[in-house]
Amino acid sequence: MLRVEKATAAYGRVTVLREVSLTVNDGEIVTLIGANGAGKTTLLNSIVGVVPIKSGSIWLDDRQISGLQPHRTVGLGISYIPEGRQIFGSMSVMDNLTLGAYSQCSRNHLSTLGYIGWFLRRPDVRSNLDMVFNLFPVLRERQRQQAGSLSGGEQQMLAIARALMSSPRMLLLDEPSLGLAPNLVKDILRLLARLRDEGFTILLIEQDAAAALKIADRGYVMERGRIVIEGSSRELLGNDEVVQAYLGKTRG
Amino acid sequence: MSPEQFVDNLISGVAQGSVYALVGLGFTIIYTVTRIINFAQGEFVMLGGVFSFLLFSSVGLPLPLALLLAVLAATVVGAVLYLLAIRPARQASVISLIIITIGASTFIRGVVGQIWGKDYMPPLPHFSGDNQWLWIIGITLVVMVALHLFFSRTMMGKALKACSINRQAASLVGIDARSMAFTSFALAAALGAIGGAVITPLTAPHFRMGLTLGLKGFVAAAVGDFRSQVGTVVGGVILGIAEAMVVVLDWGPFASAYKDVIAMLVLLLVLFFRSSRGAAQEAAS
Repeated sequence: MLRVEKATAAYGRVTVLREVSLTVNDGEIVTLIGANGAGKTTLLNSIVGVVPIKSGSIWLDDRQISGLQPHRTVGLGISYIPEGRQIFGSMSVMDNLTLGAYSQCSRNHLSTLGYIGWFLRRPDVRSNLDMVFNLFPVLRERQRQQAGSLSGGEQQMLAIARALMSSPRMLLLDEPSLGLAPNLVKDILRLLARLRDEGFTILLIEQDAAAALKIADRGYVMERGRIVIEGSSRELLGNDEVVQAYLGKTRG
Repeated sequence: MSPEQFVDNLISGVAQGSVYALVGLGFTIIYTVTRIINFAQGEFVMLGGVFSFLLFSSVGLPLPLALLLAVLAATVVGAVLYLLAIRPARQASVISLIIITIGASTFIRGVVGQIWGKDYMPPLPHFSGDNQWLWIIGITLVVMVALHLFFSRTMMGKALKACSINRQAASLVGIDARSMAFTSFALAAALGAIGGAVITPLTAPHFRMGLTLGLKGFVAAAVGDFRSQVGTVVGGVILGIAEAMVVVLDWGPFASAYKDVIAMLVLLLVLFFRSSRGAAQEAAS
């Protein structure tokens, strides 16, 4: 579904991605493993267009998406949940969810002037809303509350829910468990496995590599802007290098 | 001062303040969405006034139609200003963009002065009878309710808000920051022009009228910290009332000739309290 071919990216003169190639197939969870600064976040940023690539190409099915700006890639079915959640804190939970569906109504700029109640009654929007409220009942209860007043875990749920509102086929997640209690981390990962089973394709960066590999189908290991190891989760979990460098501490 | 006089002055102050509020909202909306302080905001007010006069007196359109078209025309100027001057300077810093708006303001003023002359134009007739102040307050109220509905009941309004909270997160849900910037310039121009159009029966339209009105809108927006729409409206109305009271008092340091100084005084107070509050926050953290 997603194919990155020899992508190179740089911040000014500092090259952060060196000829990275990666594939994510339909219905897979693929995880990126690597130390801080290895270029994992930049890779996700490049896929959605926040950081443009300097060479190489990025494909979604048969369509080249490198060079598109972030607000365009959302419309093509890729939804990105960046590090730190980035919810709209001073708006209500419901407003955050509504805005998640923005790409569904923005094809014609003037149509966004319509009454929002009509938009929310559209069958596709309605069914997305029902889906996220079923996944996260707590959001239904708190829909009128300010998003910034939710707990860390609830904010992460809201970030994922908002991403699901755009009817994506693929989710990119950057450290969804950052700052969450261990049992919440498990909940989030379990949720991702469930979303995969419902047909979503997922590319995940996760600090706890061992936990991520348990739910993932395949993984890539990044070091200093390159992919150095790739393989199925089972292969990576059995790879001495990977175990020593990235799984050692978390195995205890 | 008799009670009737007091009430009259209060009403005229509120009306004058409503105009400042409309102008100030233009500053606030552009600033929250783009972080640009648009120094051409006053020119939209002037265009609203001058176009209203031209369409009514020179073209001979009925007054309501002239006012409506004048506001629309000024809105188009606001949109074109964004497309021609701000959007091409994509890589420029916010400071450069602010300087561009200063240039644009001088340009617009110059063009209007060249084409339609530098003399005061005769004021428009009152909208009805002798209660223009009430018309101004009424129209401002309608505009504010419409603005509130726009920001709370439409996707475009919410998208503008989202863009002002977190531009990157907004782009990730599919909101194009540039089309939001375009919208904010058009909206700000419309608000300024409405202010200019409703005030022309009371002040003669003139190619430089945007300077003072723009400054007062700026002060209103400063009271709202350039972020709060409610704060901007409150700031505008307070400024209008303060000016009206100075005119009636007309005593000592509050001589009516110093009316325009009040805005500067309010601005100084705002800056003083803002900076001391900022310093306190810094010390606390």
